[in-house]
Amino acid sequence: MISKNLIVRTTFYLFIATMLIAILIPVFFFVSTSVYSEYEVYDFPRKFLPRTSFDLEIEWENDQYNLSVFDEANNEYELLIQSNDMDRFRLYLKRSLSIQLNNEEIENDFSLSKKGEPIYLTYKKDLFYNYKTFFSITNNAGKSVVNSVMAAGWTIIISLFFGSLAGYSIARYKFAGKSQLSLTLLVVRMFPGVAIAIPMLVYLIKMNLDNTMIGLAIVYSVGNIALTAWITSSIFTGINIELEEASYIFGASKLQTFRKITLPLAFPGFIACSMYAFLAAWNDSITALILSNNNPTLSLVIYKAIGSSSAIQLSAAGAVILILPALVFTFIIKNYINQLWGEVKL
Amino acid sequence: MEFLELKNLTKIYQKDILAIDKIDLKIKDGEFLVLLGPSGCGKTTTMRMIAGLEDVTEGEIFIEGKLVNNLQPRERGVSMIFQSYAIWPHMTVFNNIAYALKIKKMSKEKINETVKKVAKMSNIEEYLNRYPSQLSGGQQQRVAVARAMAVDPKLFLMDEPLSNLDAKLRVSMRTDLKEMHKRSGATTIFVTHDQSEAMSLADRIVIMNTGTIEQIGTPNEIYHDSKTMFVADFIGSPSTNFVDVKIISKDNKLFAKNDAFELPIDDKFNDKLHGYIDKDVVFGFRPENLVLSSDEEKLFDIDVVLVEPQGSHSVIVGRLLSKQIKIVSDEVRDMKNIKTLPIKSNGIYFIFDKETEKRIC
Repeated sequence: MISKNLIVRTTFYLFIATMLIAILIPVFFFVSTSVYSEYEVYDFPRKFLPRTSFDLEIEWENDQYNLSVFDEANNEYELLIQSNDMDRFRLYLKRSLSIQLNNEEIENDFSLSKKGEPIYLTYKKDLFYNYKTFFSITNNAGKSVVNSVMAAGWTIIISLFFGSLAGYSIARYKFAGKSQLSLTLLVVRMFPGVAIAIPMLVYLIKMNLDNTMIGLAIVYSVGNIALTAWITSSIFTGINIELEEASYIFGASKLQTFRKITLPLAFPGFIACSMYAFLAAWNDSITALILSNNNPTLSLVIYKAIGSSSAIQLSAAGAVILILPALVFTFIIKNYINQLWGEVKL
Repeated sequence: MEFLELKNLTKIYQKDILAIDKIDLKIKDGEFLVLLGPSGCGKTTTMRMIAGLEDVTEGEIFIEGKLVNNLQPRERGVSMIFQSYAIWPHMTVFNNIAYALKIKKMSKEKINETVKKVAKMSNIEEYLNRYPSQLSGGQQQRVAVARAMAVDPKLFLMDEPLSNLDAKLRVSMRTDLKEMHKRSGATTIFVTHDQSEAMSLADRIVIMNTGTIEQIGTPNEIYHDSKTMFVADFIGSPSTNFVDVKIISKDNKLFAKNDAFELPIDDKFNDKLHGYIDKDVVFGFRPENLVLSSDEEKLFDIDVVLVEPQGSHSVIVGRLLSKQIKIVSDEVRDMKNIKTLPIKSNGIYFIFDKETEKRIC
């Protein structure tokens, strides 16, 4: 018995560990890459943890400063540039090593080496250099964050509004063509957003909604309304109708009943639906490329940055920026999701 | 004075399913009325129409002389206890009870006072801050009762409120509900399919079957003076034994005769049975009206199938002319060595018309 138990447990934890590794290694890879300086990106072999500071050696030779950096792999100082132009040093330190200093600070420190002996300095790296650069060099990066939030917000609002109405009527009323409607809702989900993007673009242009976030949200909502209707109808079906009837009996109107009884009971389902809507809108880049290229969302900006730039550390920074709001959103609503799984009793 | 009146009340579902067929009913102020019938007889539909949860297809409902057909449930001044209790799981017990009072915009102090009062009456004072999921079934039932009492209604509706409780709790809740009714004096309509519940609670019982009223009466009237075969069969446990007989006349005396026995009928029934001579009728014997007898006095013998001991008495299940007969006896305790038993009538029986199933006498 004990050995069998041991085997089961070992297998279980091995499985969990494999899953974790498969998920966490890529995450770790791009999070660490996002704080690498340019110098570290081309380091070989690649270091496991990013550096937080650089050890530099400055030598005064032939009326020039020689700037070397300590290379831990070979255990020696590697010459980077020779110059006496402080602007060049400032730019090099900033771009290659993510060290932010002004000309005076550099000259003050470097001039100590004029006495003849090489001097050794340790400069702190600016860990958020790539993030700042991403926003400063990418066109409309700030605007694209706002766009993404808008597109996701509108998608949530549109799909929750129409989806929950459809879900409620499917759950509570009998009408002709009800089963056909439920089936049609699922059929709608079969079409990938990209497939309907071109015809949608024509519609949006005609309605003057191309390159707007509302237009984009409408296209995202197509599939999400169906999903929302599906989830909420099963939630509403699960709410005993006697709970609503009791509310009518005890003096409430239909609206009061919906607000005080039905809505709170269906709330976890609404949260789950809004998460699906949020993720669909937030993560999409291809549909946005077709429908809203001139007014891009964050994920489209990052998609383009990864596709076109050689600076992988900047793309990684963009990816972290993209994933953070999704993480925050998911953690905020995690309790409600647990409720949906029946973990936390209402 | 009539508190509630149903006139010609009819309910048709989906254009062709007749659920309630022209019911007329008058309920007195302060009465405890039980709607009793098998499932699907329309008792719950009737109650839901009174509550306003179901549209009325035809007919009228008057509460205190006022037509309420088109009023919303909240405008009818009724209170209801549901079969599933229907207490709201996302609210504490306090908020459940206070819900109706808050909607009425009662002052906070008044709400507190009322909730405390009804919680005390229902024995749930210490649970006011709990959520329903933290309570047992019986406690949840009490919350539903407290919530219904808090609004101080003129009309209580109870839709099989005890059917989800275990047998012991059901009997004690039954007593509590009856006490509550006595204290509040509110007119109460109680729906159930459990005849013993109906008998013990009701001032009057309305027996329903397939959308119509079979009989209205006090528990004793219903039991001892059943008007139809359905009522005689439905009320009483074990239920009435029906035996097919033919009425024959010999020397101006009437007899009920079949292959097993020939029973002389009391002369006082002669007038009523006049038209039934040489016709088939159905005799109904309550189990306690068939008694063990000596071999000399016996009316017939039954083949004993089994004996169900009930402690104070036993139910003897036997066969007569291949039909099941149940009698109650406190003499036979088990069926060791008993094959047949001699039985006689104690002179009390119902006679039903075979066609209409209505009572002749």
